[in-house]
Amino acid sequence: MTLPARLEVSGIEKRFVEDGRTVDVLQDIAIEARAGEFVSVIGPSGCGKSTLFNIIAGLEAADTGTVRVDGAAANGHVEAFAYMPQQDLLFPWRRVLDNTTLGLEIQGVPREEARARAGALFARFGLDGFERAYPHTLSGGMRQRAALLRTVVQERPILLLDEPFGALDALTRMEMQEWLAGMSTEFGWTVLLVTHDVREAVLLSDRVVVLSPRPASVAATIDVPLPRPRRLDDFAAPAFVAVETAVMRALRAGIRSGHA
Amino acid sequence: MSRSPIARALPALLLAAVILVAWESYVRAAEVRPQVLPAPSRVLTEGWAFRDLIWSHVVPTLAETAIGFSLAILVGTAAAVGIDFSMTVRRALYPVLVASQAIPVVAVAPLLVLWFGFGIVPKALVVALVTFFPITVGWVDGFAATERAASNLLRSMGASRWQVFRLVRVPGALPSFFSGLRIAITYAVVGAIFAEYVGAKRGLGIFMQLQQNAFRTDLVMAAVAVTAVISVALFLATYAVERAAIPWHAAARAARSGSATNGNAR
Repeated sequence: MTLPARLEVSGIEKRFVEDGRTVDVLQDIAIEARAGEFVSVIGPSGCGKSTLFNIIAGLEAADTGTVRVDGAAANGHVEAFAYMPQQDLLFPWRRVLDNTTLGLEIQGVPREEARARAGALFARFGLDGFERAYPHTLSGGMRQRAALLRTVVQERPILLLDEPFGALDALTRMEMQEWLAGMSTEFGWTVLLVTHDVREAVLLSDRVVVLSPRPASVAATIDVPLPRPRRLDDFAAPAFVAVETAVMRALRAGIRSGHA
Repeated sequence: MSRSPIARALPALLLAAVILVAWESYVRAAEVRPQVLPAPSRVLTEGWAFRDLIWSHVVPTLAETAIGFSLAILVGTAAAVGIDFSMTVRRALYPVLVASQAIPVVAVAPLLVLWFGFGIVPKALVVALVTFFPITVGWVDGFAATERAASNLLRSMGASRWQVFRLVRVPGALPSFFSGLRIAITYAVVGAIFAEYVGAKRGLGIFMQLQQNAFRTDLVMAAVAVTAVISVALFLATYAVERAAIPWHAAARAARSGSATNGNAR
């Protein structure tokens, strides 16, 4: 007997009505992630990745399709997911520690316990000593790590990361990617990552789901047969380059057929 | 911060000094009668001579202002919360609130005296009427500026609508609320004085009217000066309260403008 996947998304369809016209956004999307797996969703800008994420996170309803967590229906359930949006959304009126306890506070965890749980992760997230600082004093990379800490401390089964490093400069982004590769492997997180950075997807993932342009459907699902965690030095390895090329081809094929 | 508060106030103080000197010189040179236009020096000395009397009229005006303004904060905030939570309330209330600002206070103040007598109530109501609107607008605009992404983040954490309101919308709206408060407070003292004009036993408004009738223009102007000082003091006080209530706001703003001038130092 095989265990059901930690996350199983299937047959997701979504349409919007704009100016009286129906616009298809998502067509028959299927994604699967087993416990501890890191899966990236990659697609051209504006293809509906964020809509897909909102549906999985339970923030928007799909027209059809199911989201299952450990085999149980989870459409519209927010409890299974910890969601990290594109912007860090650290609140300027909360100190860094109190920003990271936000999710626990909403769950009703007592303040002292919430602070202890989040505080215990600060060193590992490179934020040691910044517990009482206000967010505006943090660098871009630190802000993203604080936002990720706020996400993982909720201890939900699946992490949904929506282009978490999109706003960072190239150098910081690479550091953060390598750091996340190490952390996700060490803690065994089950992660679904949305990105439009091919290299980021390949560096971090067990599997890359390539979406076509709008209306988005799954153009290809590509396994990354390399041991995790990977390092930036692995970029040059032939196996890495092969996967990167395959993902790039699938993306470009999707874009070509989309415009035909 | 390179310049001290005194250095920044210097241009305003200089301008005021120039105006006062010109005024004083004109009155002396042209020998204008004090009933028509008293010299600033006379306003100062006579005002000081009558300081106890003026103070006894300042106290009730301040009381009316305080009560009316507190009422405005309560009502203005309640209206804003209602408008934020319910589209129906918004559609029903907003036009009425806007219309209420079109009511000429000249017309409504005598009616309030007729309904509520010569006591503190009609004055507090006039103050509230002329000050609640900027407070409401400050809140409503502040609530509306909440990023959708921030609300979504909280919903993904399982937050109720009330939690989203309390944890994001209210703190995010506080800077905008304080802007509204600052506009409102500049009307508050004048509102109280106007209401006293219509009918009062004590207060700066009735003091001004009595001195006007006695052709003591110097004392009228002394009362005007006191009014101005109170208004400016209250206006500055809102900054102090803001800094105490939302220290993060000034700090974050300074950090932003600092990074704009220094380039991306990090």
